[in-house]
Amino acid sequence: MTTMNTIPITTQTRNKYLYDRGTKKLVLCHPVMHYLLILDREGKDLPAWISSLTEKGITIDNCGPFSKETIFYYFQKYSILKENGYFQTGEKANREKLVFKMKAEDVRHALANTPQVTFEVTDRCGLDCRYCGFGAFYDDYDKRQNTDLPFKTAQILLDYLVDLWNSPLNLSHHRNIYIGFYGGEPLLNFPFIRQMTDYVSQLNTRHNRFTFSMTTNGLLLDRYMDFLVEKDFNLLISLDGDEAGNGYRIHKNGKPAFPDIMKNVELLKTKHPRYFKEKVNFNAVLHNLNSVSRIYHFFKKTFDKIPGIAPLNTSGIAENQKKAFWKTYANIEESLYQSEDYSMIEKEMFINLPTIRALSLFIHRDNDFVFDDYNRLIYPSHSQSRFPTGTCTPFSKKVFLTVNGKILPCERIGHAFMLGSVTEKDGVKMDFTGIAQKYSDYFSKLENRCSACRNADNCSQCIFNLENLENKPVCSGFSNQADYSRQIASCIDYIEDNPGVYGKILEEVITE
Amino acid sequence: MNKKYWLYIDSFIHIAQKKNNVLLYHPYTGKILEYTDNPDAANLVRRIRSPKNLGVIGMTSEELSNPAVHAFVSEIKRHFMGDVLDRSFSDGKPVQMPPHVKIQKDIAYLKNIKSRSVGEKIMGYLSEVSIYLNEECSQHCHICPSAFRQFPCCHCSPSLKKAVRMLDMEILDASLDEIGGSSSVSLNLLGGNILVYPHLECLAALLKNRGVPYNLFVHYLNLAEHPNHNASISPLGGSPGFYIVPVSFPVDEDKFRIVCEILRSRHVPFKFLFIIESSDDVNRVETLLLQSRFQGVNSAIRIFYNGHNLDFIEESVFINPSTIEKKRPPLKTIYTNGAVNRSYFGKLTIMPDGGVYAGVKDPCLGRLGKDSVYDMLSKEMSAGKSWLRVRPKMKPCKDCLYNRLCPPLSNYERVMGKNNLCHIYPAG
Repeated sequence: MTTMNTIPITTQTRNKYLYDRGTKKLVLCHPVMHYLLILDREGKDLPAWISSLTEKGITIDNCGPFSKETIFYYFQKYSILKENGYFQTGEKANREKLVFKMKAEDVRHALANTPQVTFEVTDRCGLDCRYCGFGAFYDDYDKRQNTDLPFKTAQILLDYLVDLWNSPLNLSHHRNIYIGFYGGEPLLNFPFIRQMTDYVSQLNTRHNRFTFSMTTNGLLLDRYMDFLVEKDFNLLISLDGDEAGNGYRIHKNGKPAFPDIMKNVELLKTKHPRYFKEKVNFNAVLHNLNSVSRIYHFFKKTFDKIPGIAPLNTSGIAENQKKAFWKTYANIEESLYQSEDYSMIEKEMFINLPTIRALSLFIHRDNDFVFDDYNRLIYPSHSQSRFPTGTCTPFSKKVFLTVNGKILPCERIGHAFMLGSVTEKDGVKMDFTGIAQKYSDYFSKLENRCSACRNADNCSQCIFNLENLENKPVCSGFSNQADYSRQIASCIDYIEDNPGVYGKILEEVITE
Repeated sequence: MNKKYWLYIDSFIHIAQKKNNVLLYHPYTGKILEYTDNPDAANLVRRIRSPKNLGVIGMTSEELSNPAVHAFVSEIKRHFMGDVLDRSFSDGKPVQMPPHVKIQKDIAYLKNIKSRSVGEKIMGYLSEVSIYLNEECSQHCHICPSAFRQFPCCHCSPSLKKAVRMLDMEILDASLDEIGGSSSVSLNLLGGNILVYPHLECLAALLKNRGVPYNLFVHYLNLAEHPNHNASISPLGGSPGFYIVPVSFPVDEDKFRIVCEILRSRHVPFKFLFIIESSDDVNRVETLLLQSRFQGVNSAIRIFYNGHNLDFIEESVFINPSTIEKKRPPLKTIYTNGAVNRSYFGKLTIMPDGGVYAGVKDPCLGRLGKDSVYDMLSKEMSAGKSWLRVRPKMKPCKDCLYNRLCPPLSNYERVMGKNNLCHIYPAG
């Protein structure tokens, strides 16, 4: 069997396709063409095989007999595709595309063009959610010590970034940069937020404007909502649906937080209806006390909102907590398809669901007619090379500053993977060469695996979530030919069942 | 028995349709099938392209036996453009993923979303800047007034009696900070005669220092007549760029030879740019380069429309279906042709007075030293006339089935005031 880049696909309805990773084309196939692909993958000499046939040809299971003439016709079509880049070997294509060496300039450039800076304003929180990313389940974060991020530390980082944003390395003009406030519960350190919004408002940046955003548990909204409205914050409220679904969201004293949060959210809705409609969203964590259906119906009925739904973070789980964690964990797709009205929910929640997100990625990344920007459309080289895995180039999506002054590329990865630091004494310490080297080292550990992975183009696996990253990382997302074939087939199955979704995704979804 | 089938046109086939006219183009074979005023073919294609059908429609044996349908289906099968599948092969309707070209940072999208900006990563689009440093030149080439409007070429002031303009070095230096931020940008430095631009050495040093590659455009007569040949070559030293040497007719062979010797002896990468206006000029270039002393020199030709040589332009530039079939534009080119102009996209021209243009026939985007390059690029992307000037949006090409197969609109068309330099859609 070859490691051919083209895979034969048969959907549940027995329709036959070939998907070619090299050309990024899905081709609907006659059974004979599909059969030729299978033979070719097995290493059969197709011209010799065809010559050896009688005029009667062959019979393909469930499809019928096909004459030699018919087979020859499809061989001609097959040959045309082959001459035009289909049916190449996969590993070579991966190695040509994947860049395992990151350069300091890549990191510096990403930082100068980062779209978001998020501050961990405090590690204090009024709640004691059982599944909290800084709670008992996990052991990959700095110890919570009721620390607040000093404004001065954040200011030093921001000043450092402003210099980069004003430099020629910044390729954008009038671009929005999100200044995010995260916790703990950020509103517990409100003076920081006020100082920071004032400071950002007077920053002298040539090419950027700023938007504030915050993730909150909602407990202090009654006190600060007017300020948030005045500063036009994008507000994401964490709430797991109805009262029973919020069973893990409890106060330190063990009392349920749901009634207090709801009271504040209702107040916000009543007092600032327009702001509530335009700027407020909800995020629910799925677990064993709620379900996709209940979450959806609660938010739809109560606030006329479509919530985001996130599963529990499966990386960084403490060894002694694994059993309890998996008892609490719930899978979004399983939960969705257990509901009677899943079809309606799927349609309504659309991109908020992993099925649609996976399909969107397939449509956007595995087709030859979707491009991130104009350069990728025009220049062939722009559409090819990329770093392996689904790990972002550091800071290309976000800069995250912890209460302890650690700089991370994201709030979702362990604090041990800090890429720099900020202190009042030493300012910003960031070694671009060292960061690039660190990433290159991780990538090199995965080189053989990524080169052999059929899903390398579509990978969403962050290296920082891999087990045993420092020694011999294990990638649970690795796809061999059969895995990949199944993934593609499930996408096509979905489109066959829901043809309207294809156009809707292309029209409405952005996956950059 | 009325058997049932699925009919489809392969998703790699480019389809263009205007009312009852249909064009199918196979990018892997170059084959073009054209159906003019053919309602049967047009209806089938319309149904296949309907979003709800995803490229596949149901047919019965009765429908397929209709002579017009049969002819269409047989032809697309014969040319490997589509197929008919017996419905008994499967238990449900198959689908295709018809190509709807989508650019995630599409300008129309960015304009409509409040939190986004047309200027996102805008400097990343800048790929080539042609900078006219001065207008001073002592030659009297007849191509001078208008060649630069057709392709990058030297150009001097129409009236040397007037004050000759020259690009302010301080302003240029400041702007290079912005321009040089784009890692993939390259520069063309042109005049006039740039060898008399007083800041050329200084500019070259700045560019080398910043690691920005640049080409120098110097007319061969200016190079030949320069009093110090070493000095004329030195601004390029250490740059990965080329000496681009325009050669207009009639050619002074002695001076051409001198230039050739200078450039060869100093091991400078160079390219002659022969500016031709007729078939005779083409022959002259061939004869010249056949001489043993000029063999192997790097050269290219640029066709120049002088207002009187339309026949030659027709012969050289005009396109027809058979040239397209021979050239076999790939799918990506077809996708690009619908979205951006490959000839203009990413390019800026700066004139000696600091005026910045996306195309030399277009309105000025701004002025170096006064306006930011970021602003000017954003202006071109959101309201400009060049980068996104594509045939599917321009008359008469917008009504032509070939509009995505033809090469992008060029400066020739702008200069001649006629978009369809072709034998395909001559009516416009």
